[in-house]
Amino acid sequence: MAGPLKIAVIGHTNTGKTSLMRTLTRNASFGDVSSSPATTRHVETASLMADGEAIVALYDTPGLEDSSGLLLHLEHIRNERRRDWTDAIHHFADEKAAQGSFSQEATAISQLLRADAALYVVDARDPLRAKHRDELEILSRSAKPVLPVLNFVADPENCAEHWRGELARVNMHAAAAFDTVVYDASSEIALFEKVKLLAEPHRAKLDRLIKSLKARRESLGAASADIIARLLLDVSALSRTAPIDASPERTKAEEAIKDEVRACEQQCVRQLLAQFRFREGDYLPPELALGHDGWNDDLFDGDVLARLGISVSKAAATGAAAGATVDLFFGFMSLGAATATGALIGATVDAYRKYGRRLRERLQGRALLHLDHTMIAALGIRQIQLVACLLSRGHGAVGPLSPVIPNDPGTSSDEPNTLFQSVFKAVKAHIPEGPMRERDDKRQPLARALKMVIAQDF
Amino acid sequence: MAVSQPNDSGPSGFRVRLMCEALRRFEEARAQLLDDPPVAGNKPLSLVYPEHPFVPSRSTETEALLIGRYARLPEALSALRTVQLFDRGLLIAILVIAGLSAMAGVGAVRAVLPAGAGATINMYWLLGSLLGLNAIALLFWVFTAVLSSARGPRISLGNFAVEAVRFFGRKRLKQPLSQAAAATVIAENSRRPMIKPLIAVASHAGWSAFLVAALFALIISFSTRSYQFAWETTLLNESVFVDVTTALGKAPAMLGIDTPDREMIRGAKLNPQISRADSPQDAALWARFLLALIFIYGLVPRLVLFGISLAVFLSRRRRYRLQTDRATYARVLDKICPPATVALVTDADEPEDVSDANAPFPARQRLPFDSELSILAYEMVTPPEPWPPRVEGIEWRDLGAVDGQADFERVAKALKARLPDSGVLVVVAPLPLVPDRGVRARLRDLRECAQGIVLLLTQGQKARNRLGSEDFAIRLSDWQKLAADPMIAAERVIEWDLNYQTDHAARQFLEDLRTEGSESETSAPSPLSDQPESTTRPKGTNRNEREHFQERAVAESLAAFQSGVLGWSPSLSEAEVRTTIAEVGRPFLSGDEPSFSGAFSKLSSLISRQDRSLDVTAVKDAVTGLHTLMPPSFQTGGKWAAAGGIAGLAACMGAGVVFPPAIAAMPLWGAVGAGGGLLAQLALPGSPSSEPKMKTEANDDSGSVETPYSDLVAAIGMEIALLSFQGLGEAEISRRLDRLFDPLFEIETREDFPRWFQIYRTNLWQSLMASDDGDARPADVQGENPDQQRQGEI
Repeated sequence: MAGPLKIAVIGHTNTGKTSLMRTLTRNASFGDVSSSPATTRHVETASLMADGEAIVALYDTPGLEDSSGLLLHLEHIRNERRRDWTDAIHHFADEKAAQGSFSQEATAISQLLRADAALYVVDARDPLRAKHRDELEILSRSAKPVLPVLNFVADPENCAEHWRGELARVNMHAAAAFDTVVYDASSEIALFEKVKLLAEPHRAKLDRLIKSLKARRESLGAASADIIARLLLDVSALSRTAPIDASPERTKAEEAIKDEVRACEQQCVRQLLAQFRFREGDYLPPELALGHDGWNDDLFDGDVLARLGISVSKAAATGAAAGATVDLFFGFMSLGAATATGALIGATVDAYRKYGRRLRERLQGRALLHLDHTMIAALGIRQIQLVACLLSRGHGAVGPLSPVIPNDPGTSSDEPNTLFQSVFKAVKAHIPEGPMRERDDKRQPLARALKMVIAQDF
Repeated sequence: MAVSQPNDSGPSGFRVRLMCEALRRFEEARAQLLDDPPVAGNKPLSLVYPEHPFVPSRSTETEALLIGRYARLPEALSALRTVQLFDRGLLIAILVIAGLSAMAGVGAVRAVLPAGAGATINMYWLLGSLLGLNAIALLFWVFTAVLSSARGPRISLGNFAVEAVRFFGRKRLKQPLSQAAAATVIAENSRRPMIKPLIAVASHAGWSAFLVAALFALIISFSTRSYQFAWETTLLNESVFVDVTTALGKAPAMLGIDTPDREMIRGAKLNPQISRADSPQDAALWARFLLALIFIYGLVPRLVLFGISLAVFLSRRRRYRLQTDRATYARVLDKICPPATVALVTDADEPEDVSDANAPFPARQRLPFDSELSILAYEMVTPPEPWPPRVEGIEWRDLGAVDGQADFERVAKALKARLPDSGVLVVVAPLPLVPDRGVRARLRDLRECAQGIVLLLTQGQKARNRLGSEDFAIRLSDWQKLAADPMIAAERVIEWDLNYQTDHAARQFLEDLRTEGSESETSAPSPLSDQPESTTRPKGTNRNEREHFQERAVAESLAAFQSGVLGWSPSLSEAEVRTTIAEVGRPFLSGDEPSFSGAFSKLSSLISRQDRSLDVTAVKDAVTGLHTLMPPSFQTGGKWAAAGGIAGLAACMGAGVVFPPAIAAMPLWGAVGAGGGLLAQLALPGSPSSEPKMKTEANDDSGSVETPYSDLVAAIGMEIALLSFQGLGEAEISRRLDRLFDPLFEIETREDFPRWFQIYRTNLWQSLMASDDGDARPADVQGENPDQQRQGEI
């Protein structure tokens, strides 16, 4: 079927039609949203794309405000012109310039008649009232397939079941529950699955759209994990030298790292918001609690020593092998001196690369400050929880983002504890203790581990 | 534009992908995507390679989109050139290794061949030197190849090479894009799937060159000089050499090369006592035999492995794909293949403005108020309980709930039947309902049937929760504007949440009706008539002024809080705490709210009392009694139970010290109690916290503090919060306090305070921005019986 499926988004005023458009198009700037009636005065359109092709053209229409009056008006037209309902509605739409106080309704109905189908948006927090029944009656007489969309179903006081029951009474047995503020990917898929029932010729295209939505969702998770992995590796590389004991200089060094951590986090947040197509001002991360226990400057940390031992033995083996080659070349006349020298050089170079700076600083009475795994994991949790929030935030939402972000790891509830364990494990597995020079090869494995955490927990 | 044509036909798929990866790194480093329009001075790739498709044939759809986009960028050519430079550098490095190895091969031959005419060559010494070392190196390679196939860090020798190239890249390249491209070549080639075959190719190429050079050197030496071939042993049996040599000769024999027989081998044994000389034929046979052995057992395996490694390496390059799940790629895909496109307005016709947003506000008219009023519930599925609302002095004529045309016709008929004495109609409408044209039309109809209409807006709390304070104010304003059209004066749009029907609120409603009526009788135009926005606000308050005052007070109070607590001495005296409490509350004193100021000034005088003669029993009773009145989170939350108890002290004070009407402002007393309770805690003789001590660095290295410090800070925080939340309902205050304090952590050390304060301050402002309900504060606390009021609050 050529051309996109044309869907009119219609409904009573202030039920979230424009918010629905925003959420479906992932565009938080689409149209105007306010709590006042008649915010949308024109028909505005947007196309949902898959692989660069427009699949669905959505038309945002002005809200129906006086459906009871409109029904009476249509009745009047019908009686006056002795026409059937459908003709009366067409006549009403065609003569929209002459509709006076119903011009807004005429604009919406006119667009409905030009569309292939309609989404009838209802605010599920409000009970079904007589005016809604009047709207449904008008829509049912327009001879267009209509799918009711129950908005704001995430509100605990929603009347979705009441609506479903009432809709069934007017023969509308299929209704989609889709909250434009609290986004749910499966609800969006379910919405388009139901649209497929209304638009059989566009079935294949809608399947492509659904596939594209799933792929995009998957891609968002992976991209977010990549961004977080970069942040964690960046902050793990931050270090400052400072006196071992508390002093103004040490405090200054700590503050300097904190500032850098904040800057890194801000950048990460900006990227995450952009990735999800939200505005920068939608979220400001609260202060990260970096206390005195967030630093690792212990020269003889057991974990470091254990890792160092493994690393040094590998380097020694490599050096020994290289030296043995030289020994062989000389027929072992050197009595294995090259092998021993190679092992020594390998071990020394490796140990110095990983440990030398700290040892040097310690000999000078100073410590090398850097973030420990716990703090890095805590930082990771903040971002993961932000991602969780973004994953469940519709672009129709207008309030600021407020994810529940623990400042201290594993303190508030069981969930952060479990989450902390997962993130900590990933951090420990992929980020070596101490500042690293080269981090690029760690990023992908860490991103994969974080992606799994995001997928499992959210 | 003159374009220099490169020698090659175009970049390989691998290099094109590396170019994309380099550009991605560059974009990531600058935290911004590159723009598509070409920049002057940059040549597009398509000009340099006009026939090249760029997108490799086996690319996935997503990858093809990405490559297509990056190939169009003006920076692509520069990135590609650096990629090519470094990638070619790899080939050059392998060639250098091969060249050095060839030199080593010639040197090795020169080392093992004896000098002098007719010199005798120890065959096994020669074979051992040329093939033995190769065989051991080969075994080492197999060993490392097997080892490194398991999970683990990169191959160390490969690491060394990577570090060297990285160092070179950093030193040589100054442009960020070139650095990104160099880093990409290094990083992508040093990934495990790529580095192993690369190292193998370099290793086998080197050894092959070594052996080829050695073979050539031997051929030249054997061709130009005469040698005798022999073997010798001290330890081994003669038969060992014969067997080994015969076994080694089997492979050359299969290729048709003459091999020495057992007698000839035995005859070649070097015996110092017997001088021997090979015949020229025998020497030539031995020479060919040795060359064949080096070729078959040395060069052939190396060449085979080199070929295999090269094939694997090239295959890995061909199979190399962009990691399309990278964040930057995701953004690029989002840009070039967006989820939606917006076409904006499609109908240019301007719909008629039917909102009547600018309708003039009607002047107040005298209401024909008497004891009987008609009331109807507008579009309320379930009218509030009790229905009609109980208001002393009013007898309702209940018209029921109205929803739909049929209901309206019924009501209109009933009202019209009583005209011209239909009286005043009170229309109760829910605030969550959108005041649209439909509502206006119905109100207009009703206006024609009644002598006067009072619009009573209910479910305010529900609307606040749903809309937030800002949108709630807009909603109120929308209702006022809507009411203006059917000539309902703004003063007759009254907000009363009928879900919370208290005697006080009912009396207030009645008073509003009566006051409005009496004012109308004087026909004195109210100044508020010109300010319809503020007419539903409680009397005596102006929203903007109040907002301004509140913001300033909160800011000053927070500043006093921070400086006060930070200024506390390590030994923390009662006077310091008292001063902080007073300073924190002072900014709120200058408002135009008499009860508020009065209450606090009384508190101030109490605070400054020096006799410390509070009645302990009365305090305890009051704490117990008032504790039950506190919001649930105060009662159950362990950390705030103490604060709830402290706030309960306010009741004791209010009963005997402060003038009675002030206690009506319950939330205020929460604040008063928070501060006053602290003082009492300090003042009570024998109280464990009468002398709050803080362990400081001087007496305790840990710097931890006893509970009172934490409680003092938290309670002062509560004092500010409660003073700031004045005007909200108790449930709302409870909700906002939860939101304010729940994310806060327990202060353990004095150093925690700045962090705690920062979070507290952010949360407080956020909750104030979310509340900001200026109108919700009961403006009627004066003259109310405190007991009754408390009852009502319960």
